[in-house]
Amino acid sequence: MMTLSRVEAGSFRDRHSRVFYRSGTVFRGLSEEALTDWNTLSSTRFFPRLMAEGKLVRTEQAAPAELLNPMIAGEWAAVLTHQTIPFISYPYEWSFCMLKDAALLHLELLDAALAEDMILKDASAYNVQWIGTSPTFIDIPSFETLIPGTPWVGYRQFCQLFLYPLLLQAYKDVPFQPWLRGSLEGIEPEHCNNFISTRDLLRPGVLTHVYLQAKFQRTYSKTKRKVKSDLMAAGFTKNLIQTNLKRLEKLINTLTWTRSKSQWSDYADEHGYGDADHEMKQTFVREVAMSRPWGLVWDLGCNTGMFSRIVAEHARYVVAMDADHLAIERFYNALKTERNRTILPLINNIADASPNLGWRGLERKSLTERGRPELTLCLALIHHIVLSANIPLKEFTDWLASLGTNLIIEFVTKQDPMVEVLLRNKADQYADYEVGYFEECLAESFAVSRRLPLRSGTRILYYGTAKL
Amino acid sequence: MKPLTIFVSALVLLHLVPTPSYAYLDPGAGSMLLQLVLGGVAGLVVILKLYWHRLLAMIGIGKGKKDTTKSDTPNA
Repeated sequence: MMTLSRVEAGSFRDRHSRVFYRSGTVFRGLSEEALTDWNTLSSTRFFPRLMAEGKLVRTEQAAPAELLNPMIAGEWAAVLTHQTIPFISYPYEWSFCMLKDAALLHLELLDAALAEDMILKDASAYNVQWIGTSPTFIDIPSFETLIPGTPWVGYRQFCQLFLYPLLLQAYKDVPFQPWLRGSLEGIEPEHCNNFISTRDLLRPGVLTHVYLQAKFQRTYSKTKRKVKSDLMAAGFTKNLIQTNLKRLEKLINTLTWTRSKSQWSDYADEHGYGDADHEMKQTFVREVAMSRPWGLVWDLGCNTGMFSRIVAEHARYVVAMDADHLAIERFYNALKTERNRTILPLINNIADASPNLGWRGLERKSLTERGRPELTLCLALIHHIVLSANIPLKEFTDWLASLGTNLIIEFVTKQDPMVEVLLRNKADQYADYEVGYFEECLAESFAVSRRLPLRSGTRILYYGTAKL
Repeated sequence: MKPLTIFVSALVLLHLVPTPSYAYLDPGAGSMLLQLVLGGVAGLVVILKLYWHRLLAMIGIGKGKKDTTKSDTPNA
């Protein structure tokens, strides 16, 4: 009963609710005001329906005994419990289609809420999380009763965090992820307006949501009017919000990211080694995967995701990461068709993985702080890390060791054609990059139990368990 | 019909702005008003209600109210 609760340090912006963790369960304390909204929400028709469809995180009110917990008692009027998200991720790690699907989910929720006179307080992309490829909205207290005559206050935020990033990538082929990682509030209307050309004004959504929004923001930023009450007096209705939502839905549905293939996204077709080797590699991974049940697994440099899939058959959850945006986009779309809930594809460059961001570096957590893997796949990756990103080999193996994970790793020798491509126009200053030294470094932190050279002679697979 | 509504709404809203004061910045105000522009004909109706007096003053009808400004140059 008296187990300690741990407050979610990043959950502070909304003064009416706060997230806590205890014994692996997610709790949320609600103020009186938030409780009123919760009571309204839980009695709507859309709430249970969307929860059943997996679009809203499963939530229920906790027993009053929870309130006796000293950390919560006296502060909150009620406590909710939430389903746990297997692995938290952020919009700057999502591919184009993932952000697009998250945006469409947000609009769908707004539609459903408006039909029953509720609305969402804000429109943050950080309120959407994933269970595999299924997007789920997690910020339940964001639902509030719609006061008739009030506009959609989340519109601008929706544009900054959902629409503008999508437009940037769809219309300009500029990846939005670095921008979102650098600016947690998203892209400002004025900046979005600055990167569109006159010709872009003819493209869907630009004249209204970008150009006019930037203009209006500038024009009205210093207005003395109380816009909200003025709108109410002038007869603003929720109908106007619904019309806008339909436009946005239609617009976002048309947005696509067309791009020429990247060098590595055809990996599956041009893997650079014989089919026999490919079979051996799959067998190796499968044997390790089957050796015991796994909890969280990371596949670093997952590319097409073939090996993620193999491991996923014997793991609770697989986070598949790659720096190649197009590879993740294709993997996500393939998994989505299968309605996969076990594999989460994310964009992450291991040489520059997501850091701690936000207030005191607590709001958005670094990759390693969101969950440690029990098994890590590091296939055809080390040559990129050492030879392209210039990270010393020992530092990389040390980092892998720090995860406390078991490891499947593939060493790719300098004689390999793929490596020859990487070193083609570079001076070979990588004396540390050779098998003997690699095996030494590996053995320091891992108990290597399997070693398999592939027939090509340029690739060797290893499996090691973490040394504590 | 739709682009025309947007054009008219935007024109009205951007040109009937009161002289900027040095009030605290409110970046949300513009976005809320933009929703009227995106609201089609229904939105245009609300705009006209909001700025009815100002509109009248512009075309020279109605009592000379204190809050009608001398210039309608939009900010920017």
